[in-house]
Amino acid sequence: MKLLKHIIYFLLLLFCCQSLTTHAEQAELKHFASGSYQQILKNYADKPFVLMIWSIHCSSCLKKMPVLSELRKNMPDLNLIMLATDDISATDQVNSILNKNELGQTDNWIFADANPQKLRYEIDPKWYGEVPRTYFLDKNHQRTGISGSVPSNALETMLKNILE
Amino acid sequence: MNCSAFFGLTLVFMTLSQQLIASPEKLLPEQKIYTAAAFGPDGRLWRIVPSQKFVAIDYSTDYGKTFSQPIRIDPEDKPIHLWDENPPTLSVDSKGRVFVLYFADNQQASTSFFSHSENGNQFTVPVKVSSMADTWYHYQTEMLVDKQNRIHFIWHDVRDRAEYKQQGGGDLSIYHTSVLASKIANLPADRRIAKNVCSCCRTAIAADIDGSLAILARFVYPDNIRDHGLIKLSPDGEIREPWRVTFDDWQIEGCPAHGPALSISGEGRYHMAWFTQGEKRNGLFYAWSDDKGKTFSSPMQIGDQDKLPGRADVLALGNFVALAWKVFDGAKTRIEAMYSRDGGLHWSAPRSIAESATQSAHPALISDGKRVYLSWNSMDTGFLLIPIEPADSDK
Repeated sequence: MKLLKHIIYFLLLLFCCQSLTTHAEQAELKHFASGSYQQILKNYADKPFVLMIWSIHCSSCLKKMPVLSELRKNMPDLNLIMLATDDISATDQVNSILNKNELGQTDNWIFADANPQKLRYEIDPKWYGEVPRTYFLDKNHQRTGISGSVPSNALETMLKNILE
Repeated sequence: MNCSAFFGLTLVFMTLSQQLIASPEKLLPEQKIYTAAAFGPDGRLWRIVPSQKFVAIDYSTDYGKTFSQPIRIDPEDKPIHLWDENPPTLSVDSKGRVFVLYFADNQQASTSFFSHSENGNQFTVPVKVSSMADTWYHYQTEMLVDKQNRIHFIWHDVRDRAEYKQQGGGDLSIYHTSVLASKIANLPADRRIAKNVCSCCRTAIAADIDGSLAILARFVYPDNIRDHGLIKLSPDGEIREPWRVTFDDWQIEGCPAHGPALSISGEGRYHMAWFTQGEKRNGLFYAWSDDKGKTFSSPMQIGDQDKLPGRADVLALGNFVALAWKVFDGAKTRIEAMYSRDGGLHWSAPRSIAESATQSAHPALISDGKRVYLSWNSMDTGFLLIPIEPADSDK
């Protein structure tokens, strides 16, 4: 009976470890719903951050992933938030792309509302939905939005501006 | 505890851990709103009714108020994969044959499938449209049935990826194939008709009165300028080198996800609508051409700039031309429309003809040969068919 208990504990332990490992490997993809943008502003109160909006259908976004991965390594203190505008049904694909580019540990979000237009409007009432769309916010949350892939020299300037 | 209890307990743990570890059940996107509708020669309104695992077809004899019992196209389940810039297409030819194009995940995600019916009662087993459907991702397929009852397909295909890697430029190519409605057994081999196309914007297709096909696409021009170009495909299959028709200079290394619209009137006037955020022009525009798209009238801006106007469709029926587009005010999506009775020279005031507080498809314009209608679908309104020109009693 004692042996049995040990086996059960062992199994339990195994199960816990397994779920922890799975958890650590997978990007935690938060659901971006109505109010989430305001929540992000609160989460990063008085802090500068970069919000990079992308989609699995956007080849220019995918081309940019290695650059972002490098950025994460070179500037580990930079607050980088990534938001996929894909439907939550694309969660697996989004996770796979993030993990492949070692961006799984970034503050990752995915659109999760039946009306994506409403979510876009909450972020920026002037944004038509083109991607990639990158917002650079300084510590006062004064922001600049750029549509399309941000060239490396512009990226450098923008980061310098918000981190000053 | 006996042995079987031990195994039972182990099983419970295993099942529990399986449940907790397994990824959540894969949710497919809400398919219901991405529909397509077309009138047949007998005045019936045919419609695609997509669900998550299959598409069905129904029809209405009272202009969309009520519909027949839907008929399923493919008895075999396949995950249907549609989105706003990748909707299905339905066409009915002069003999009442119904043609259906839709997208389902197969070897490749959102593979294009085609099926047809002699009378709308029974549909053929769906076939894949692309000759390389199993090896290369392809999407945004458009279908058009011309006056000779030839069915044309054009689509975006990534099969030339290696070529683009070497040369740069756009991300993908447009491929074409066509078949006579009376001879659909196998689709003939497809071929490339354009290169350097923007990857995420739908391409528009219209039949010219000379029997050729006009194709309006967003191209990637040097320096990542994403403006529009026209491609002509003559009835004997000759392809004219694409030429640029919009000069807004929208420079973006990214996805506008916002394709153009094209319609050609019975007199041969080209009408186009497009969206841009170019250096020279910004917003939603309309223009017409009387020389088969060589030159266009000066662009006319459409919609309230403060309400994100976009997703325009245009349809010409003789001298009557209709435009419909989407606006959003932060809470509600509205479809606005206006019309011209003189081929696009003068226009009615825009008016809002439908609204939704939820997700909705792009507006589409269809005709029964007498009037032009908005065909639109949203989660809260359901399918709507609304005449663009108000009835005399509504004026």
